[in-house]
Amino acid sequence: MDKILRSIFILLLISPLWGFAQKKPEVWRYEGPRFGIDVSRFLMPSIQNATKGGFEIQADYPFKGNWFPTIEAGYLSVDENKDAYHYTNKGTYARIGFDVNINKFESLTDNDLVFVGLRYGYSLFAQETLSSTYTNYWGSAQNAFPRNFLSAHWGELVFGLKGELIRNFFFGWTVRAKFPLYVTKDPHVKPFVIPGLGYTSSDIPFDFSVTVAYRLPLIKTKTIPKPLKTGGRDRRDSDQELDPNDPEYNNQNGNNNSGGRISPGSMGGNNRQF
Amino acid sequence: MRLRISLIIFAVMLLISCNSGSRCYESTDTLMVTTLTGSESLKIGPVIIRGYGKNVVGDTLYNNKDSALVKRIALPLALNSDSTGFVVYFNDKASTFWVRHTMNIQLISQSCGFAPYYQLNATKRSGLIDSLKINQPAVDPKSVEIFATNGQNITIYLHLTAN
Repeated sequence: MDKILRSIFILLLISPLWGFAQKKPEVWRYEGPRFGIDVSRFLMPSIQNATKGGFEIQADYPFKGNWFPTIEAGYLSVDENKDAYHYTNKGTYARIGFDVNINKFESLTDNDLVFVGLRYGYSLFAQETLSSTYTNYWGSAQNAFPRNFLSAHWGELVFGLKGELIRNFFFGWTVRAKFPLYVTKDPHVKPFVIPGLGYTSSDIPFDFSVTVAYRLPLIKTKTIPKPLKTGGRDRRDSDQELDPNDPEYNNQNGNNNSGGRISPGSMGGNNRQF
Repeated sequence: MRLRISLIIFAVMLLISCNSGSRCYESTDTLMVTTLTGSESLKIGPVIIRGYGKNVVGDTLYNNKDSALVKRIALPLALNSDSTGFVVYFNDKASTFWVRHTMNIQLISQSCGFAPYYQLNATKRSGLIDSLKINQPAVDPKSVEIFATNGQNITIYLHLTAN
């Protein structure tokens, strides 16, 4: 019994030393292509009891830290069946452009984005009026207009947020101001909604996207992208590899890692691992 | 930062869950704005207008017993014919005029639906109507709003006599 107690006492004494010997998990910054879906295309029709439905997928890829070339594609279907008319509109669309992060990354694990961006959009869709009724003093007129294929081009200015809520999983929203450039004309039915562009009742349609995305962590790096210059000179002149002895490094990754594991010579100039 | 972003996301989702509804705030009545006039000095007495061939009670389109130099009326055009006729009763006599037109049904908006757009081509008259002039051949749902105080689609010059 005495031996056991003595052993426990010794163990308690030396156990803090194990902490020094144990390595803390190394902190890396992960980058890679991000794939997402716009959940608002699923949710809003049920919330708003709307007559439209569809889906949208998105992908982006980090370029020089703060730039994200982006591609988005989707499908929209509208079936508006009212007393006065029955109208359908179905089509696909795609947008291409980029986002630029205006948020400063606070640490290696900080991947939250506040971004602005530009898009060019194109939509190809078909609309059909199955029936329409108009009544006045002279009686009633019934009309139907066959399927007509139309296209539209537009530009977009976007602003949004993306937060990494779970590792590699992002959630965010985007506000979009859309600027129609060209829409094929239909002599009878000016489309009131265009897939990807939105409602045409406004000269500059606004739209929301609510995105859930997954990032493929293909790239490991110790580099925190420098914030975009907004006027004054930043303390760091370029994507900087942090010195483990630099107090800022320790603050940023919360790690007292030492021993020169990270050195410019050992990992190349851009300090990335694939 | 994550917390802030999450909160903002939540706020925005609340905002976008609001639905503005789909009420129609535009006019869907396509009416031809018509001006009745005689001469600069003679006032027009009581006037009744009906659609040609519409003689049932309730078919009166316009019934104004006041005297005025100019009377402004908004008249509907036929939907299933390329011409529309009206009978104008004034000075105890019936006169008729016809408007020839083409029509194109167009979608106004999602909430308002479709409405006819007309193009006036020609006119015909009889009785105490001196002449007709097409001022603006395009008749659409906004004509009444556009010509609320000034202007008209057609002007009808009546043959008035001094009492």
